[in-house]
Amino acid sequence: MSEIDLIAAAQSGDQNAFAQLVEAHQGKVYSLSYRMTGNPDDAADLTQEAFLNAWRGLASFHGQSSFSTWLHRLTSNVCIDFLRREKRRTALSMTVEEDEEGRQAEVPDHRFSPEQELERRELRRTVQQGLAALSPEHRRVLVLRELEGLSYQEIAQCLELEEGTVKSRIARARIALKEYLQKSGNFSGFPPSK
Amino acid sequence: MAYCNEYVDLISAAVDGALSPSQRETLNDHLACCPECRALYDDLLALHAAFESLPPVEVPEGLTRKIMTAVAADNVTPLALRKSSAHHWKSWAATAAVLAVILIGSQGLRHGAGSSRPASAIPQSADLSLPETTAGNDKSNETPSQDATSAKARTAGEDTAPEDGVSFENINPQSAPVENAQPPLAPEPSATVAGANENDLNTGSAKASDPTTPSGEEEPLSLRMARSAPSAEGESDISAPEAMNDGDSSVSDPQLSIQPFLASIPLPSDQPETIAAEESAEPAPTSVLPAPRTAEAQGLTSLQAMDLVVERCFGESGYEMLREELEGDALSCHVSLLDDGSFVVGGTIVYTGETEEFFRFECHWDNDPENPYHYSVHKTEGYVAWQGEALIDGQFLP
Repeated sequence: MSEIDLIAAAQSGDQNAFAQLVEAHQGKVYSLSYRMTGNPDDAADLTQEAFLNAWRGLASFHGQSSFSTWLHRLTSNVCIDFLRREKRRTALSMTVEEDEEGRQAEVPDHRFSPEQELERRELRRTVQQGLAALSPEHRRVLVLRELEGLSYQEIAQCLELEEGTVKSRIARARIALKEYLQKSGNFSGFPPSK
Repeated sequence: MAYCNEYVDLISAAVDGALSPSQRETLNDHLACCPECRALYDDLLALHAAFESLPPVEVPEGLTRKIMTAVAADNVTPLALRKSSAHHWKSWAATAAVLAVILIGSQGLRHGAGSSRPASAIPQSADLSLPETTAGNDKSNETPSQDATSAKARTAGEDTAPEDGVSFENINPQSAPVENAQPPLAPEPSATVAGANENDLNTGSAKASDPTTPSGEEEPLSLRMARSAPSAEGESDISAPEAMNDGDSSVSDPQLSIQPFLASIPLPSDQPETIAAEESAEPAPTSVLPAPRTAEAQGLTSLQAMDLVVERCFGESGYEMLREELEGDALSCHVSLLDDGSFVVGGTIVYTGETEEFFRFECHWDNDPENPYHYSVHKTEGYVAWQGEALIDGQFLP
């Protein structure tokens, strides 16, 4: 069944069809939630909430954007609401450090020497700390751009903003991240990318 | 780090490879002579690369199961299903409507001026609507209008579903039904379709004896209804409202009598919460009957329209706005966004003209003044539509 058919079936109440949509999209929904909260349990709850919202609001999806974009929008709203409610920004950096090692399997990347691998790990933690320190709005736009790989246009659709606003917001988020990292002594200029 | 604020957006976009050749050239020229911006560019590039160090996120086991369990347990049915329950309302209303026809119709006969009385109830509201109908209706509006006129020939009220808890006490051929009508809000196109059905039928009933009247001065009501039903952004897919398809007997005179009845039924919305949405002044409301609205009914002023554009361009940011009206005859203002005091970006909104239906504005972003964004604000519906980046394709999309 094509995705369009699945969506139509789900809109008529077919839960099996919806389950297939969940399977197909849960990766990106979970990924966004995880990157926004830094916490796998919260991410799982938010993923569930996002899909519940999708299920309930399915009739209002009419294909003006892709289903994926629509889901991204639901997810990012759910995450932002959560973060505003919980105001867990300071707690996040701790959680990120603790969980990162345990949850995400550290498969050694054989492209890098052990020293490089260590450096990458440091870098990763630095970026995550920085992300955690950002405002939810800045974090969201950076995660969508840098980690979910959405284009400006997709982000604009997702957040229902103009592309120019998206462009500006990403620029400001990057600068905020940079300045935070510089202040916390974690940024003396990253190693240039190869 | 005293980098140049006006180049920040360009620098960041360069990191994403999102610059046009001319923008890239502009940036390169600047970077060649500005070491601070050069340093910022290097930093942002490094940050961008650093994100690659983050591994892909793995989905935990059993997540789908967890989600589907919640979905199955959810008591709220998807809106699509909820719509079908609205059909129950419709058939109930249809029965009630038929009864009402009999009642009012017989009243009309008794008074001997059946068709003229109800008709007089309408013109007041029709007058309200007249100034709002413009000659500039798109084609998309004419279709539903014609559907409306033919639909009214069918059993009226068949698709009128009252809101929950609405009783038919409002039936009163004498009263101006206007104030009882609640416009169905339709931020979603699906509800708009349903709303359009009701709208068209209600107005359609106004001219039962003239099924083929084209949208013209004779039918200010239906014209206005049809025009407002499909909302703003050119949604012309509301062509054959489902309700219209149940063809039927055309009753002429009694239909005129039931106008006020129908008009007094608050129009349904599949999403009751849209009423609340109206109260929060959502853009693009689909107003139905010409309820005596406030000054809005007469249309926005250009200043009000500009406010909407300002809100649209800058309100989203969540940052504090500093607004300065500009000198001169032109209607314009500059808005600055205060970003923790460390970064100020903004733009200038300029009024550039108007048509019968729209005000036109441009927003010139401080960081990208060569690519103004074009906006149209509908004078009576009050929605703001963005016309896209005009310079990219060199065309202004109407």
